[in-house]
Amino acid sequence: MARTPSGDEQIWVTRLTGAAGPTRRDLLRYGGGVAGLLAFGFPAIKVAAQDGEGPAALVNPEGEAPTEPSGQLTIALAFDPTNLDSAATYTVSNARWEGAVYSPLTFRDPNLVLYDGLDGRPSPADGFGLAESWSYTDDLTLTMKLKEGITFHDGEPLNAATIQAHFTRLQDPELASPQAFNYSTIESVEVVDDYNVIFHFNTVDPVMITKFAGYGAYITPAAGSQVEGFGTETVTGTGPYRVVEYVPDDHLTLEAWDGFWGSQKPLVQRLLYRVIPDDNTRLAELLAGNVDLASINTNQVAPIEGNPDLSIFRIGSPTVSGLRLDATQAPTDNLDVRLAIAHAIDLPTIIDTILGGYATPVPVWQSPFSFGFDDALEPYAYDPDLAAQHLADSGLETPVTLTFDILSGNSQVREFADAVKGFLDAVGFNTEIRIQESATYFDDYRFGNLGNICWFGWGGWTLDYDNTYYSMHKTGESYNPGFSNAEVDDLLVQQRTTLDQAERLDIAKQINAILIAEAPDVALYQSTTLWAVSNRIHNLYIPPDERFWWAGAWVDG
Amino acid sequence: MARFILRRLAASLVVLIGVSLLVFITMRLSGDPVQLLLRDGNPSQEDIERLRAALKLDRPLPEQYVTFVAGAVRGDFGESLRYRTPAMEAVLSRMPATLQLSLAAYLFALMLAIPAGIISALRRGGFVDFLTRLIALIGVSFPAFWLGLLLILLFAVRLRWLPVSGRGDGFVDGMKALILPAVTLGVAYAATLMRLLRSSLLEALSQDYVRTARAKGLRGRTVLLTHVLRNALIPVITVAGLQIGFLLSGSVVVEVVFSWPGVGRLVVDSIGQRDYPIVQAAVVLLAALLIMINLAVDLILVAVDPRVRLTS
Repeated sequence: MARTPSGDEQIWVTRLTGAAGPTRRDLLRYGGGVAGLLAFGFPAIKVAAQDGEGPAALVNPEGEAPTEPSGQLTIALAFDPTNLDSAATYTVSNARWEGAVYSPLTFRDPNLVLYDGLDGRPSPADGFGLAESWSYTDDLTLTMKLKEGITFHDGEPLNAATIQAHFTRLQDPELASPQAFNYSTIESVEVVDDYNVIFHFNTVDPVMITKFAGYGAYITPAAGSQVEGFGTETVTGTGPYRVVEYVPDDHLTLEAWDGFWGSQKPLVQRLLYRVIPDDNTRLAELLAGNVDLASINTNQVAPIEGNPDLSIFRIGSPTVSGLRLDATQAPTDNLDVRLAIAHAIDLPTIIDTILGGYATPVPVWQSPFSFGFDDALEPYAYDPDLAAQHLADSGLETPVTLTFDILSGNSQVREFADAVKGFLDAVGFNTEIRIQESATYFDDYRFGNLGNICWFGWGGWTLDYDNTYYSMHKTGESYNPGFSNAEVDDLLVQQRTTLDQAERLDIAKQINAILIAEAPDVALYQSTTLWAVSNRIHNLYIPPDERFWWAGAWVDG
Repeated sequence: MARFILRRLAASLVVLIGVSLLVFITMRLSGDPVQLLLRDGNPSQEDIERLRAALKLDRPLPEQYVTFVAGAVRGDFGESLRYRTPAMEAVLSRMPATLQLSLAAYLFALMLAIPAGIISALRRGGFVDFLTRLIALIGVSFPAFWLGLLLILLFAVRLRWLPVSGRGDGFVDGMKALILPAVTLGVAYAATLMRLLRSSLLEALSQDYVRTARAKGLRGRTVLLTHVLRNALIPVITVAGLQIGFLLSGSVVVEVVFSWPGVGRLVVDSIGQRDYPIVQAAVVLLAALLIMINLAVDLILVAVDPRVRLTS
């Protein structure tokens, strides 16, 4: 999931001096000074800490919840949904509303806990997924029982035929779904009776239960989806909110659905999603009290900190950012050069200064939320002497010239790149930064046409190492422009042949060890997402993966 | 007249074909939409090829171009890769917002520029002239995104008189929502127009026929309205007409800053996502509009200035 570091998808952070707000120099330096202008006059500081036991933040749980839905909650979207058919689109930002309109087959809560009933986790019956229970007959056959009595917003019943129709439609070439590949291991869906289906897989898919918890598995109606204009003019799901109006590039309005089948009911009468593409305009809307919830950039913290009506929540993101090193071109085809790069970067300083502390170092390309992350591992140590030694061992004459490609359109990425260049040049490199536009960047990345180093950021919505490692490190895969290691290839294939998660975890550890030794990339840090939240919102969990669960949340007034 | 219009329309067809070819080639040279559609996932090469085939992007380029042109002739520019709706329908659905904003900005600019230009010229060298020229200079120099944000800060965040962004619900809220983006878009245009009108008026005021009119004892207002202004307006009309095109295409930044759901924003987003059908439909439509505007300007000039003759 290569993602641009713009808007609210990826939070790149800048340094803010002092807790009371930015200096004039900072204001001019960051965001064209606009955030600073907006900050003027709000001297107090209020930053809410993360709450709850999981990685999600629980907003303002105090107060008495209403018994009936009331009020309106306005959420800012940086990107237009473009289409409301869950099977026809595939963008992470759509997770903010999709869970309100549709129900997934399985349920992963805002704290990223999968309700599968295993290892002490809650039962599927207690969650808001459509499946009551499931079991594997063998590695290629999954029998699933659906919850009964569920209907879509228009009254169409949900049953086994619905599930079969949904996945058949998802794979239909006519739909050209960008999510089809996530479910391509499903050979067929067999209807047993009204509420029982059997999934037949063409190969083992150890991550499928997680994939059933979102995106392509937000179930669409069998009959309703055949209606002309489904996704643009009509939309029905089984979620706690129904679509009232969608005006592309402007807003999406949802209303509480009194027929919601789940144990937790919607308590906000209306969810209004407003498409506001500009960062500064979103900030202005927050400050004007017109928006209740929006993700913000770190250079927007100061204006919000002093606002008595708003709080800021910091949430660890599944996205890991770092540097990919091209092992097929000189000089990064030399292992010592790659290790020199890895040890030359003073990551703590970058995080403390350029990133304002809003990031967590990681040793491998997995966030701490990911299955396969190993907290026993340490990031590459910053050791300029060791880096210089590796460079000397490479046998190359210094300075060693490197090309470093980054995405255009984000001054903070540029700042980050400048810092990295500084550290690299200090140990004997001569680094040239090159800036590219996003569409060509990803093309060039995939075909190995970028330089020795390129910036890269990737999360992985399944929160499983298969999602990232397979396409980043297996030979010939889509996001692996050149790295090839037979042992890694074998391990990646092997982990896809078993549903035994303990065995898969052991494989992940082996892969981690090889990748750290081979340094095909330097994973640097897990990003932090900042959310500005109106204090009138209560009992809302802000999840790390942006898949909001709105039922249970309520608003004052 | 009819022959002139027909010739211009025929020439316009050639221009449109050129535009269609240019936009078709440049979009395909600059990135793969399939990559962007799948950027949140981990597709295999096979998955990528399958989606490319489903979207018919695996066909040879000449075949794709012929399909595009054949469809365009019927008004069918294909289906948006992201919206999954007909591309022209998506563009046209945003057109009212763009036209509303452009028209409001245009009217604002005319209302500001014409009196300011006249007063500035008549008070040449005085304080009022200095002030209007200073304001015009600032208007031209301010980037739209910066001016827009300043206006938002003052009128929406501080004073809370006007909404920050969006189009508003209902007539009253809609009108209030229109003010800041229209002013932001119109200021630079007004400044340009004002400076042009001022210099045109100054030139006209120094002409012999003005001196003659005054010598004949005509009142100052009569001289201004019937002799000076009519002649001074000729270059202004030319520029004002062409500036409509600028307003239509130049509103992108304003549409983004004010979350205005217009064509400009749609096109910029679509270029970023390589949504070929939308970009192609919008560029061809805007090119056609500009051609028509230019033609209309030529015809208006003939009506205003008898010295102008229609030639091919």
